[in-house]
Amino acid sequence: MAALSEKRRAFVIAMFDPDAPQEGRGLLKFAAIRAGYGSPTSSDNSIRVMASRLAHDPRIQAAAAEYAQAHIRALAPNAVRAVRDAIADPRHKDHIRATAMVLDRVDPLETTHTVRVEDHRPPSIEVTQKVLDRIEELMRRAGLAPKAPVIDGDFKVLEEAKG
Amino acid sequence: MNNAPEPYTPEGHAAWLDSLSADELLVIHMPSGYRFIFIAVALAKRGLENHKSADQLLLLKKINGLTDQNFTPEMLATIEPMGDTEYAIFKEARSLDAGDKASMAGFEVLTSPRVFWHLVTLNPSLLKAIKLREGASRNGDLR
Repeated sequence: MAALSEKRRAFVIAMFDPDAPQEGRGLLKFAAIRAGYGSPTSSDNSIRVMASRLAHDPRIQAAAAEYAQAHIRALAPNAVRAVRDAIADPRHKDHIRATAMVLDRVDPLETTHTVRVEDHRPPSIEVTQKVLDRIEELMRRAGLAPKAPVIDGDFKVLEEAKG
Repeated sequence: MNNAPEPYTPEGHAAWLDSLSADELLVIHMPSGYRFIFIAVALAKRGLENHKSADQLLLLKKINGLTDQNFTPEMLATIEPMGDTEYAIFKEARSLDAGDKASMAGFEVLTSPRVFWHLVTLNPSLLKAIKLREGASRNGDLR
């Protein structure tokens, strides 16, 4: 919001004016005129084009979202008051709904999810090798030690150290 | 018996085959699926010794259902129950299948030449059955 010019900022604020018509019924034109766009001689069409361009500007859209959020937060005290009134008056048409809503938040309904995780990855080479080693150990214990697997490798004959 | 050398080279594989005895070659030339059937039969026969009669009947039905023209009733009769060490090896291999219903890792370990040869060493009836299979194959009785 702070990044906008004063005129554009006024356009955003005008879109949330309590007197503004609804969207699709001249809201953008109303906001443009309220923000000071156009002149007394500007045609209705040129104001609409100008307003539409403003409304499609990403910076204006970001500012409108920021302003709407702040606006809703500002409405919170009124919302709390309305709920409190509905709870206080047993004849209020939304008395039960408001009461249930507050109770749900004070003592939330418990929902249990059962999540089953299945792991279908093949065992790693290390795990498989450990199993193979234990199998070899079982054979040794049974007194049937087989020939050890042949390991290929290079070797070098070292000369005996002198002295 | 060792497993085939890896990575595969024609020379290395040929040298490995040359190092094997006639019995070991018989095992090598039997498809791994049949090696597993032989293990399963030895395991089931062990189960027959240790289970109640209702389970015994189920096991008997299952192992008799395995016979066909490639795995004859004679081979089935030849295989003796798995001993304790064989069973311990079987359980070790199956421990690789935790959560895997297809049991592929355990299958590969059990049917690998080296481990299967251990089982043959511990239970020589497996080799007798393999020789029956080889004989039937030579006579053209197997499909």
